[in-house]
Amino acid sequence: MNTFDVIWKNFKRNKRSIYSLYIFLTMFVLSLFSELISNNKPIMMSVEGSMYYPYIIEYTERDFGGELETTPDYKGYFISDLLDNSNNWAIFPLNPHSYNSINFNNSTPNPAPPSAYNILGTDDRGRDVLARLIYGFRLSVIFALALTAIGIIIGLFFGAIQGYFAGRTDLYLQRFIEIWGSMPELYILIIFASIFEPSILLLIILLSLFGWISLSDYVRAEFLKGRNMDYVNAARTLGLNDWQIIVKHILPNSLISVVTFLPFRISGAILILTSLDFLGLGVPPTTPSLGELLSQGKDNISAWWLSLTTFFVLVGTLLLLIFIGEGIRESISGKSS
Amino acid sequence: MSILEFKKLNIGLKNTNANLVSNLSFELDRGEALGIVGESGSGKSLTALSALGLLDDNIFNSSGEIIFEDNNIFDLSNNELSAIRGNKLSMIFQEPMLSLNPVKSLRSQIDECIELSNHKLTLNDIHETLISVGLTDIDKILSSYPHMLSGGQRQRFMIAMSIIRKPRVIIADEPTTALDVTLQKQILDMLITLKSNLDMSMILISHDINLIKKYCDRIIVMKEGKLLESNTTSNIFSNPQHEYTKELVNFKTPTYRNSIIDTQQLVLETNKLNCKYLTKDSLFKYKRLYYKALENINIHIKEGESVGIVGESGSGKTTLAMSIMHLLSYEGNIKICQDIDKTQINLDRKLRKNFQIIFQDPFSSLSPRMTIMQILSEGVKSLLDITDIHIIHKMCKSILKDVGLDEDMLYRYPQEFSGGQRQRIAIARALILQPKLLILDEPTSALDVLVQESIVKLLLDLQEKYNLSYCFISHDLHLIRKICHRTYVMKDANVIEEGPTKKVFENPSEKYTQELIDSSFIT
Repeated sequence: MNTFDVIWKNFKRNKRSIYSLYIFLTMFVLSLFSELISNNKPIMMSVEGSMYYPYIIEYTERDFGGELETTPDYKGYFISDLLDNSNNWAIFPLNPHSYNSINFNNSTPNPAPPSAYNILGTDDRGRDVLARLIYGFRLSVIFALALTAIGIIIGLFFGAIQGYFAGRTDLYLQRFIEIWGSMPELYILIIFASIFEPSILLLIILLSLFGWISLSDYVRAEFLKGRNMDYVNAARTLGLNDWQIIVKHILPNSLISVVTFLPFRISGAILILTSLDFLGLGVPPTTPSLGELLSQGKDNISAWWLSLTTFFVLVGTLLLLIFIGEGIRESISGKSS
Repeated sequence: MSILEFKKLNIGLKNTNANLVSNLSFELDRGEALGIVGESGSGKSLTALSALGLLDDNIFNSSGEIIFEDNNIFDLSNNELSAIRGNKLSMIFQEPMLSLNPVKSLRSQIDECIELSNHKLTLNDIHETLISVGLTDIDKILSSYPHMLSGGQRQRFMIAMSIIRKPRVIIADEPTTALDVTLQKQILDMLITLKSNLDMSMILISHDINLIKKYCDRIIVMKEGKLLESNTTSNIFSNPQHEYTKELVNFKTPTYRNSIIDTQQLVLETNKLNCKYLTKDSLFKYKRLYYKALENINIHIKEGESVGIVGESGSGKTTLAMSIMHLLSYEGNIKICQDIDKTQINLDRKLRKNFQIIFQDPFSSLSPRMTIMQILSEGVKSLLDITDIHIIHKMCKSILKDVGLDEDMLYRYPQEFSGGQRQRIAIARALILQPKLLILDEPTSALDVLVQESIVKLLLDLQEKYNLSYCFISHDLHLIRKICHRTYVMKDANVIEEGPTKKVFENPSEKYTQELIDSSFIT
């Protein structure tokens, strides 16, 4: 049996980890369809006998017989009046709020406590907390996955080159990495955040510049070990070139260390995004983000629905990832048994 | 009178119910040297460890009795066991590098022995013991760390540590397997002298029956955890009862292969081959230090011929193999099949199909993430330019048949196979390219004795079938004597003797060659 099959078999034996994996995957896949779960636009509506699909198509108020050339506020008076007519109907998503739709009709001042309309209350600008949590979770996970993937690709590339060619190549690259790694990451982030308009893409690029270093060290060590194995020499006598040896022989045998770190790197990336947002160095304020919700919670201590809910989402996500990582680590170390 | 007695010893694994040692009973007499022989997995080491109460109760299930001085070892408490270990019962392990603590000086390690001793020991005792195991320059050795000593010195030091408290019984578990043949003899001679001087009893554990024959009065043969036969040494050799013992005793009969007639083509010729490693780098050329691994090596191999290269570790044997395979950079000329040389191989990697290598350790020479089919087809695709999967499949099947393996093994992974099977796969990987020259770097030294036999037989059959030339690199003189037409003896990067195997073995011209042969117990 292939080693990865054995690891998967061992992993499945660990109940806590396998359930964590299932829960995390379910949450993530569901959050990919956030627009269907939490949105202020109806999925479909019927007005005066004709069908509209505001979820897919952009309509203007004029399309519904109004006067303005702008997208209607589907929760506003104009559409509500239309829907009061018994012939007209609309299907709204489960949570009829988007991450940036503001509840203008709130009777209590913002941030408003949970109510039947805003299940988890609103933030200090009147936006639905539940919607921001759902979208924020999705953004965090996608951001973390992208950061991890880029980090792994760059880390594998440099680690493989250093470890495989060793000698002088290794020496020079290692010195380069030392210089590169000693640059103050946080200052660079702050400087760039003030020069450019902060965005998710900018964050990914800036964090990727440094995120690969820790991984490349492990890959380098694995390759240094691997290059002296007899099967690598055997491959060389079979006429394979360096590239083929790296990809077909050493890489599959050094992937274990990469796999072990995967969940921990993802949870680390989520934490980084959250803390940057909390400090105000991260994504722009309109973007749904867990860190921004936390900092709102700090500013409005009495609004417990802000900090507590975000806290639970964050801790839950990180806990799930750590359980998964633990399971992977155990199933790899116990692969011989 | 017996000093140590094993009664119906059973050792099993806790969670699988597998029996590793079953119903083992034997005794060790006072002043006796008892040999235990058997292949790996026969339970020899477990028996030794159980005598000192060193088996982990969480992993092993043991039952039966081990009587030492009227006490059952299994009934003793940890404190009582500690009082016996080292003071009365002592052990020497196989790998001296692993059994010495790398971060403590040798002085503090032997001091530990003295602190735990029952009777007072002085600095003088340390000196005497270290001299008695053949060490010199005692003060320097005491202040050094394990990595600063050679393998032989380390093992001598280990022996000194185990005998300094004058134990009654000493158990030596493959004490010289990790050492060179010339060292093996010296150390075992020394151990036997110490045994009689200090009036100890000794259990010597080894997979090599010839070694045990020379040093032990009585022999126990073990296989799969069972005692097959127990008798005096002379009886075991003159009248073996069990089939397995017969195989062990008989398989080494000196026969030589006749030299090949001179008119045949050369498949390998080296001319003034030099190879050196950089040991100290510097910006300036004149400050760089090199270690010479090969100096002016001139060897040749004819078509269909087997040539042996012998020598102890560090003599440059493996470097020679790597240079011939063009895995290292070297100076001088290597000509393969009369016209292939360095520049041609650099231009066209496909020429590599003419010469292939079998590595020593079949556990590291097969990539653990590839199926046998992938391993075998890799060279076919890159060197023979065959891409048709059906043809490759057919080739793989027929080569597996050649090396005596089943074709349904094609889609399995290397870790599902035993050492012997893996070595067969490695041979298949080389032979599928139909090379002219096959280099074998210690091809059997990681394998058990009887598996070695079957691999050797396979290699001889294949040589006949495909008219292969073999370059055998080994420290195992038995193997070389059996297979090779001609032999080169290497020492310190030089070839010091060459000639037909029969002449080299029976009438060596160099003193060093004679020493090598004597230490290998070929008489």
